[in-house]
Amino acid sequence: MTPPASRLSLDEWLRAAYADPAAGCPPPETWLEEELAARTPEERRRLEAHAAHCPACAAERDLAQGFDSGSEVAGVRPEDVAFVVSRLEAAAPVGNVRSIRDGSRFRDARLETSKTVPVPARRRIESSPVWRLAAAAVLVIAAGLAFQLSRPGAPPLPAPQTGGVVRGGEVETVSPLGEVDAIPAELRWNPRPGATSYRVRLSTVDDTVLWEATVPASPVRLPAEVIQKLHRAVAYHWTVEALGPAGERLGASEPARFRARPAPEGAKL
Amino acid sequence: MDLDRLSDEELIERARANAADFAAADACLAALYRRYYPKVAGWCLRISGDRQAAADLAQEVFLRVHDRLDGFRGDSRFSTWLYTVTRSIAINRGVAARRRETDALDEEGMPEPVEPSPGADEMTEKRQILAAFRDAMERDLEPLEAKVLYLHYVDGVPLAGITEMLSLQNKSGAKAYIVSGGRKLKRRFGRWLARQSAGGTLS
Repeated sequence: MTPPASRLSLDEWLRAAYADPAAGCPPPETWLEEELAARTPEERRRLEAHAAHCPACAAERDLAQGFDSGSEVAGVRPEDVAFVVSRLEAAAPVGNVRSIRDGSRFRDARLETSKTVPVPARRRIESSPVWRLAAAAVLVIAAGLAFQLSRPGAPPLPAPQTGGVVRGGEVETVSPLGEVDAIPAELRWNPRPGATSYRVRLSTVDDTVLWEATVPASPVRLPAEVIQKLHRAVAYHWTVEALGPAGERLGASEPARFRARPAPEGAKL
Repeated sequence: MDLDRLSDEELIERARANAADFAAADACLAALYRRYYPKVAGWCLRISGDRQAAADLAQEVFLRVHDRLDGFRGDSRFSTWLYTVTRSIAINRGVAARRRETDALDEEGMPEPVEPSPGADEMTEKRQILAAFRDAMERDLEPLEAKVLYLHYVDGVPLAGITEMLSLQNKSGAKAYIVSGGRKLKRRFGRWLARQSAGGTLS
């Protein structure tokens, strides 16, 4: 066996080891109380037997049980919970639903402004100078958006992430997006003017790269060995970078997410 | 209408039904999110080990949930979906933070196992190596060591968060388990790498 050339750190090896389908681990949310309660006693017994020797699932079970415990988690002080909750209430994302095109989805004008500075709740706008400034910024953006939309030939509102196209990045991903019926065999995006090739990357939600390739155009078929590594009920991310003639980066998509719906009962662990 | 009496899914449905009425839709979503503030706050505190970091994390969770709610189709419970979002964000933040920090194990000369070439013909070889890692985690390490390594390296949970979460009472908390478990992996994979470098095969 020829010794491979490149190196991975310990955490990269461990992430790859437990992202490997051969690990046979169920999705992390399986360990939530409600999810376990929905399974048969036999299924629960098999899951517990698996967790008894699998450190990954034992850890995920601990994490899920911590979520089930709510704010009554051992070692967590009530005053700290109150602090975090007060921050959440002050930064509530609601109040920013700007348009709903067909009644089946929501869009907001918040995230385009900042990933870290939330739009304040209304009551805070009245009491805090900082929030007044933030609110003023939001109003300016909203006014600009309204102006744009009122102009003839204004661009359409962004499409939903589930189905359709993900816009916002410099390359628009088309499919697969959101919940899909089957594990996808190909990735599809809209061409970007000037691009002569595209670098496509498929990864797990924790950014472990499962496959990467540079291809001339959309769509690209996933290799069989990659498809074999994909699981139902597990979310994956993919991105596309548009490259110019000299290999220079012209733009990239926002990370697109998809998940194949779980298989019927009996096909799970 | 007392919104607190509605189920999560009913609140989402009602918000969608009131699409043209922003105030009504907002009220439904506010009731829905408020219901989970303590739960998400507690979980974030548990794994962050720091209330400022927990607040930032929880805030990002609800912003992401609000942004992605249009993609929620009700194939799972809302609470389950919320957990997957929360966990995913926490892991991504944790892993990213871990990559930025200087790792004590690296200072101690932890091995950097060799990555197999990505060619399809070497897929089998890579699976053997990955399986060897899982095997080492289960057989060579104490369950608590393996759990701590997984939480820290795979899920990106800070050492302080793991110490708190697992109620570790020893002086150095999770760090001790990272060091002892890491040494065991070093012993096993150090030997393996030496044999492989000399043309040997996986044990």
